[in-house]
Amino acid sequence: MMNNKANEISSGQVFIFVVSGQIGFGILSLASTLAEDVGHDGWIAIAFAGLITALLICMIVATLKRFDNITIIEINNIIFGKYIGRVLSLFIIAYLTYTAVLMMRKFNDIIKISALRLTPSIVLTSFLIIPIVYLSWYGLKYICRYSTLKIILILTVVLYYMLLLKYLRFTFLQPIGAAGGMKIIKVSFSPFTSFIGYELLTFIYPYIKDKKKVLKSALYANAFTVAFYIITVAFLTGFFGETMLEQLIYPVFSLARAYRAPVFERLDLFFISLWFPIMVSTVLVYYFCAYNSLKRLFNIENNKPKSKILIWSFTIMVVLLSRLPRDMIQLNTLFDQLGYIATVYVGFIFICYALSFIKRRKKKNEKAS
Amino acid sequence: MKVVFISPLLAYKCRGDNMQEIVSKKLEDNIKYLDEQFTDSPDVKRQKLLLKDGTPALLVYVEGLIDTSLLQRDILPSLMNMESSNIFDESLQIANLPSANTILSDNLKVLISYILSGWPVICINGFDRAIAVNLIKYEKRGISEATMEKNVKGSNEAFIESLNTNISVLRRSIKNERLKFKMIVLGDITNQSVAIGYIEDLANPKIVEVLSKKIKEIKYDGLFDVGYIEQLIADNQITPFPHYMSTERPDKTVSCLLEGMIAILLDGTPSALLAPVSFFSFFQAPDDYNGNWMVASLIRLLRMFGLIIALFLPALYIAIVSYHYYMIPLNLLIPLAESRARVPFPPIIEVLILETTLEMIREATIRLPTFIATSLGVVGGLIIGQAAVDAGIVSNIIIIVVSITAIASFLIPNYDMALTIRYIRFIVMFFAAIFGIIGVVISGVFLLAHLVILESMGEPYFKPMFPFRLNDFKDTLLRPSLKALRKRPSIAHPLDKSRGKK
Amino acid sequence: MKRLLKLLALFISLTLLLTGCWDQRVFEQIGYILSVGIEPSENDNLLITSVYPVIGGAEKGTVDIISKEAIIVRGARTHSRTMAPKLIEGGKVQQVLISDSLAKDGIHDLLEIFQRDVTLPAVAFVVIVEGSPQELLKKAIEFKTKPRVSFYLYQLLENNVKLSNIPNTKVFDFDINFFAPGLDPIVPLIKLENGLIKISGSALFSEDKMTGKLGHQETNLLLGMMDQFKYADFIFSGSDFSGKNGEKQGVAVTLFKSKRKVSINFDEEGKPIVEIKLNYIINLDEFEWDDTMEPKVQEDLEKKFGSNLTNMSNDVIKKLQEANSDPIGIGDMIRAKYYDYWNSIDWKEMYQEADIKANVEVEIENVGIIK
Repeated sequence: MMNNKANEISSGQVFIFVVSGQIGFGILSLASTLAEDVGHDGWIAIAFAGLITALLICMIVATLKRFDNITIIEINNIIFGKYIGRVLSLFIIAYLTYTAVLMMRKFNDIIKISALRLTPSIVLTSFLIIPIVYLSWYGLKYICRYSTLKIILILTVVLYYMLLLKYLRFTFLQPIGAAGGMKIIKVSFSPFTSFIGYELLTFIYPYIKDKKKVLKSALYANAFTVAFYIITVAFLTGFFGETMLEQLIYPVFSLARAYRAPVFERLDLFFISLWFPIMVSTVLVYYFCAYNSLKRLFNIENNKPKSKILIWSFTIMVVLLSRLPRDMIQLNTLFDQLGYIATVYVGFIFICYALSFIKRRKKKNEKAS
Repeated sequence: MKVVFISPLLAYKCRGDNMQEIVSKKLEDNIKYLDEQFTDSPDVKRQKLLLKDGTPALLVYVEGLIDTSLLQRDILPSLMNMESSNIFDESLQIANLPSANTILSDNLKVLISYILSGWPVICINGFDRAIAVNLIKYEKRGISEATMEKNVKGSNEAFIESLNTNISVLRRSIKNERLKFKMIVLGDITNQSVAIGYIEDLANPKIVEVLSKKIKEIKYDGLFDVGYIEQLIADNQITPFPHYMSTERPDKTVSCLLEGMIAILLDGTPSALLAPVSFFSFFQAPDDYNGNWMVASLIRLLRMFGLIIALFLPALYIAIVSYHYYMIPLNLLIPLAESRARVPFPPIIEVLILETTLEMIREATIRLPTFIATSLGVVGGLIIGQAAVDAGIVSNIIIIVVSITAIASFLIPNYDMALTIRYIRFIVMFFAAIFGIIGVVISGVFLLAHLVILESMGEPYFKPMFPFRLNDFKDTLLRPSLKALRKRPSIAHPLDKSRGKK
Repeated sequence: MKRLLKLLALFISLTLLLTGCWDQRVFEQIGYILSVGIEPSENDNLLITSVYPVIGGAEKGTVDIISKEAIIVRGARTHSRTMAPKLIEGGKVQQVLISDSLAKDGIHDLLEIFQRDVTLPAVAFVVIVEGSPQELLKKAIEFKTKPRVSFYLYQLLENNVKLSNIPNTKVFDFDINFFAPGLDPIVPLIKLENGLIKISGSALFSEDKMTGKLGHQETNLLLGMMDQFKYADFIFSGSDFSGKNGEKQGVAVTLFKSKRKVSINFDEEGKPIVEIKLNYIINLDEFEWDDTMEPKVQEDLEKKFGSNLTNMSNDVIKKLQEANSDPIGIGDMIRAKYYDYWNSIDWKEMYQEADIKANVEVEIENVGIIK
């Protein structure tokens, strides 16, 4: 079970992996954040932001190609030496854990708000984390297999939008570009938490079988995410109108509440159930990357008993840490900051990329002399 | 002399290191040895006889395993009319007996295993060879109708307990020399033969090899069903799901062999074990392929719907009634509330009462004679249900929910899978009782996570769905026309992917 | 150690099973409010009436009704819970009935609770009652021949929405139309008449304040102009339609889905000139014997219908402008197409001055099976 084959994935699964990292929590409130900034032109800003993300993905893959077959953990060791490298790796793992923790908390909060108000959070979180831990224990291949479900569910969500198509007012989306081109572009440069997830490629690169197609799959995944975001944001804007959209915390869930279904009347719980597995897989990929990087850092990838201790303690840590944010406001602030942290991390990868040239030149010089 | 296994059906392996039990030229020694081995064995007959020239000989056989009349009529007279020098040829390789199947051996251990499987053995004084003659004939059931997996159309044969017959049934269906059987002996004490059947050039040799290796490694005293093999070679022990499919239908076995799968037949069990299989093959019946594809597709969909109902319906009832009252349709609100109003128990207990009763009835009817079982079913289903409603122990709706669930679980063609689904249903119900609909979703997600982790012979268990394979997926939820099914499913990695020449 | 862990896990799961179910609200222990009536009380607070069906009572088919003065909508539930034998919950509310006297002062914040609290349905009907909702509900529970009041109202509203007699306004639609600039909500209007509940049309809102009302035939036409029209029964009356024999003074038709085209222009002073072109398809239901298949008669009728509908639609528009209510969304269209212009004006003022005209054409498609 702990053999490396369990982690091996195909390039098609890279697509699923990147989509899993991206779609999940950010999109739930993305539309209202954008409505505050650029009114009804949010979808244009997303298209731009998607292009920027695509560029970043290209650069990340280029970096990874230079260091064939290793993750960022080993890259740190190579570039910064054993000790500094390890400290940096710990910081990076802390970032992953932090993201996983915040997502877990958000997951818990969403479930609490929408269905189980009185259930103690600690109990709920411990139950929500079960499938996450279970899949992480077995490996990347199974995570990607599970996450295939996510693609199907996202398509189902789009179908759900279709139910409400006749209530859509296209005038709410017009005039296009009313917020002003500069403003839209400026907003599209702001780091969205909704887009993070692509940077996880740096943690799974060695497990990909067909490395030639990585870039293509990752870009396709980004395109898929962007397409879904554009549809969602445009739809929400066209449905609610920008003024009302600004007032909503989770406009996607509010949309689910707006459809009066025949016989059952309310489909909001149905929608939560639909979104649940999507959220699971988002936490899952972050959780897995943090856990797996820890294993690589301590060099216990093939050591089953030690991995067991690690996963138990890591899980307990995530559950307990997820209780730390005080309230919803703090959580949302922290959550929005994730985009910035991810950007810093991507910047760090590029520094590694630049340093790798210096390192190589040094080596060449040494050889030459 | 090396032991040559002439008949694959008698590939008895010789246990122990004591291979030196050589047939002695002195008959007395052999008799002594055999007497030691067969103490307290009244069914093992040892008959001394004299050949025409007065040479003493010994005939050993197990009564009830051989055709005594044939022995009496053909073997004994010719034996007694022969001189000892005529019995063997000069090289001591061929026995001169009127029998279609004889072998010679000098190893007493081997000979004993022949005796025990119905070959009379003849030892002759002055020769270090003994003759075993194939006269196997024992009481067995005739080929009968399939009882567990009924079929409307197509063949209705079922496997029987005898391995020979089962193999011959398969051979009769596949008249092709490439149908091969690897023989392995299992059971430290019982010495049962196992046949691993596959079609050469079609089944993936890697899988055949891995499987036979796994089966050879089984160390167990006796195996009474293919289920034993299944459990002993399973990849993942902590799972309620069957890894391999056991079937009592030869036609199903043949169709799986044609897809490149491997069939394991065990002596003494009327069923075959098929590997590797995916989750979805447990929801396919041979009848699906016998008729029109549109109708069959509809039935497939119905079965999948049945699966979802069987897993989740009682849990959804619990979740909605005890947590999400606003999911109930407006027109059902009042009738449902009125029927629930008299019930003192919370929904989970209510469902458990009825589900447990139903499971008890099911379990009871299996063990009972048919005529009692029928009346028990009537008592359980009708009288208890109605009385429970009248007494106010359960509500009307729950009777409907539980009976629909029960019917839905009968749609699953495979018995092992149906049991598993019943088991999982209870877990989902408990989760639903704690977290409402979120509990149902958590358990659903966990179930899926478990299914994608499972592997059957190294192949993903949930294959055509996750990971997605379009070509195989066509034939899971729907059943496309046979013309559209030109390719074999990839689960067994068949060497030849296309069915039939174009 | 391992055994200890296993025991611990068993213990935890057992405690969970036994003490769990924090959110459990067993269905039959709940009294679900199906209709809420809100009106001003004597002391300038809210008088909230909630109706919930009685389950397991002595008599079948009864409902309970609780009225209580409260300062806030939730106050009603809190109070009801102290009086009712069951746990009162609002997740199944079907209609929110608001009195017209309250609606005149604005109702937007009243409905906020339906959006904020996820257990409450945002798909409940918003209905304005002419008079007192409490009185209406109290009267309605005495109906012996009709289903329970909330079901009765539900069916009444659903059927009339299908007939385009009232707008299909749920809490959501109300909020969306309220928030959108250049759009105003309209809400179904009902009243108690001769001891029965009657659909009387729609209430017009300017922002969230009720400023006028329309009859149900006018609502048909308004919905046509809003492009939310499927079909409606319609009766033309007056001397134009007296026919040859003069026995009848009208024509009954069914109007079918209309095609709408809105064109917006501006005059020199910058006032918008709006023309709403509508095309109805008509099914002749009741008129008189003879001649309805004659092309000339049909043409004549089509012209008459057209001018009649044009006049009536213009009357509706006039009423809308008087009420300063823009449910058609002309403001929204101007905002979408002429954004700079929109920014330079105050639409609420401009709307009343704008020149809005309807132009209706009809086409008789079917006259039934007599000539």
